[in-house]
Amino acid sequence: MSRIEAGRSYIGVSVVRPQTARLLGGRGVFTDDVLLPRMLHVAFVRSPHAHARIVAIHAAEAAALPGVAAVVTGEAMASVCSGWIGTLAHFQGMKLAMQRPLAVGNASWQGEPVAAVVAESRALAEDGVARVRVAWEVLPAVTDPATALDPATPVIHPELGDNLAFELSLTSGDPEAAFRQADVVLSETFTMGRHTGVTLEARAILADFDPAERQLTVYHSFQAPNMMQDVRPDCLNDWIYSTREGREGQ
Amino acid sequence: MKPAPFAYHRPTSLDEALALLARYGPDGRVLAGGQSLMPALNMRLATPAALIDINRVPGLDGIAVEGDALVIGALARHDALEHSALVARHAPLIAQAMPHVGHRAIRARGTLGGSVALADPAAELPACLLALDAVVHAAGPEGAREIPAARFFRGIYITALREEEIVTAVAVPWRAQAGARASMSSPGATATAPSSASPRTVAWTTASSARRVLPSAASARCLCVPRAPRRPWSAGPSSPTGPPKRRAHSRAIWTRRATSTRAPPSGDTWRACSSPVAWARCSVDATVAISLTVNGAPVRRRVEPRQSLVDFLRYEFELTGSHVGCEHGVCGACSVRVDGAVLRGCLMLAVQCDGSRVETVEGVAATGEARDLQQAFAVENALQCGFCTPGILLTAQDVLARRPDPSPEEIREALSGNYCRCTGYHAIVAAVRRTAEARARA
Repeated sequence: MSRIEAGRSYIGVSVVRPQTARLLGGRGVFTDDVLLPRMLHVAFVRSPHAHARIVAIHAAEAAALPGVAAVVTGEAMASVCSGWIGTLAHFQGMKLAMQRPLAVGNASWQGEPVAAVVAESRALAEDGVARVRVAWEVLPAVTDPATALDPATPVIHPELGDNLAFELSLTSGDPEAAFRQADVVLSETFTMGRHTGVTLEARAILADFDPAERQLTVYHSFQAPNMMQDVRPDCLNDWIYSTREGREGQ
Repeated sequence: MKPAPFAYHRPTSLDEALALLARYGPDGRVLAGGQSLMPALNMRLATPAALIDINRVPGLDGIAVEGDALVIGALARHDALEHSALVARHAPLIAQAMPHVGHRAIRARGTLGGSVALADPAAELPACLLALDAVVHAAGPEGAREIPAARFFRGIYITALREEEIVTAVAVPWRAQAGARASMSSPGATATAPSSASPRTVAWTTASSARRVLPSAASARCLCVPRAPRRPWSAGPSSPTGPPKRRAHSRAIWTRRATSTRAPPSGDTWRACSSPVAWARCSVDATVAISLTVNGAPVRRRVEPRQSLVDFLRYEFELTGSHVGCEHGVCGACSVRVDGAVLRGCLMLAVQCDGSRVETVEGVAATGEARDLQQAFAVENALQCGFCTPGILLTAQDVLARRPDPSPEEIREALSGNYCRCTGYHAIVAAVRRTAEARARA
């Protein structure tokens, strides 16, 4: 078997990627680099509590701020956009609550968005967020998986019945017998923090709706635009005729 | 992550700065290097009504021996402390601690006075000055005041500095430190240190490196002395959360916020803004006219004081090569060159660049000064998604200008303030080395 000669195949040869010149010249177009006409910016009012009932949202002061186009609450958003239940078909039995763009009624995690302030700049949108007042009734938080199923632990999403999202048990051979026959059995509990990969490019999304064509074009810093293209029309019902999605980078 | 609006003043004398500080009271904040203050502003942990930028107050950046003390001006930058022959000779602890402060882009901008006045432990200087028995010089309406470091630093982000005072200098006594210097340079020589040393000198001589002396000095004498709040924490937006350091930081800021009055002072700075620029439409701020060069072209603009340099470049000139990542000086994606120095575009205000020469990756690409470096990045595949690449290119070009033949370790150190989440850095270091070798041959 002869070696493939360098230069006659991609195999074994370093190939300069065609888009490097653009990226090395500062000409990449990431989501936040896209500038469109009449662009507005959004900032979110988020729950400071892990579990709380939204008693009232006072948004008049923020809405009156010069440069603020709208202050949207969960109820208003629910009329145009349903939520998404992110279960996976290959995890049979998985159950999750509907995740809405903005919380309705209760906030069930710290940082959950409860109102959106839309303004002519990000700074103005944040000025608006600082002026939205939310009255909260703080509810008991559930933060420990070890006690999440105890009868005394409150159920975070009553519509699910309990706090169990998914259960999977895998057994091979006879582990009980193996332990019984072992010379030494060590028992140890390991604790680890939650890890997640975070890109340097922060999460960003830019949506451009053309009412004449009924077309929504979405730019976002997300690796699966085609998945979003499938999900988004489901949530937005008949608001969209067609969607286009794109992403710079990988 | 954009600051709340504030008025901006750029006094040209200390008296003028003190008068402004007196006028605003607790709502005025002094802006020096901004590397500690700007992140707090960006996160709205601090919301001052006015910033008093003292960067153009002359005479505050000197480093000189006066009598038996090394006197360092408040505006001396970390970078100057790191490379000053006088500091290396008379206060080597400070010179050796400086490389541990942030990254080069942070040190090129951060100041001694800012680190001291804010008591930011990440700046290493509070612990250093404590260990060195330094004296903080402050100026106020009542005149000058000298405060020993042991009384000045009262906790993380908490000092004895009064609201109407400005740190002007720090005096480091140096005569008694001969023995201590000897032990710093040879860790095994502790036994030969003078037995007549003061407690401070003993603490210092028993440490074999700056890294060891800093935490011990800090924990023993400085960083665990909380000050009782003037009002309960519940006066803040909510209970402080996060790691202890951040909680203490938040508490200090929220306490200050809760105990300060928010009525804007009168004066022409507070006239309603009439700029046609959309983001400037706010009731408590005024735009400021600036002129500067951007990538070689002279430009004039009116800017809202709170706009960062990187947002200014991206929105005013659509120079979107400099990216906005963390917005608190950590990631390096916003790196730009100001008057030749690579700085964080998110920790500098556009209004501060009046009269400056600003360069971005687009400008560097256009002049061709780094064409070989760009080519090396392509050949070594030193980028994947490319988001961090503009900042890394500017920083790498800066490294090569400072040190034409950097070792891989020096390259890694120099690029340590620029995060990349795709390539794992090996290819980036290789590209910089390849460029250094090619330039050496040329």
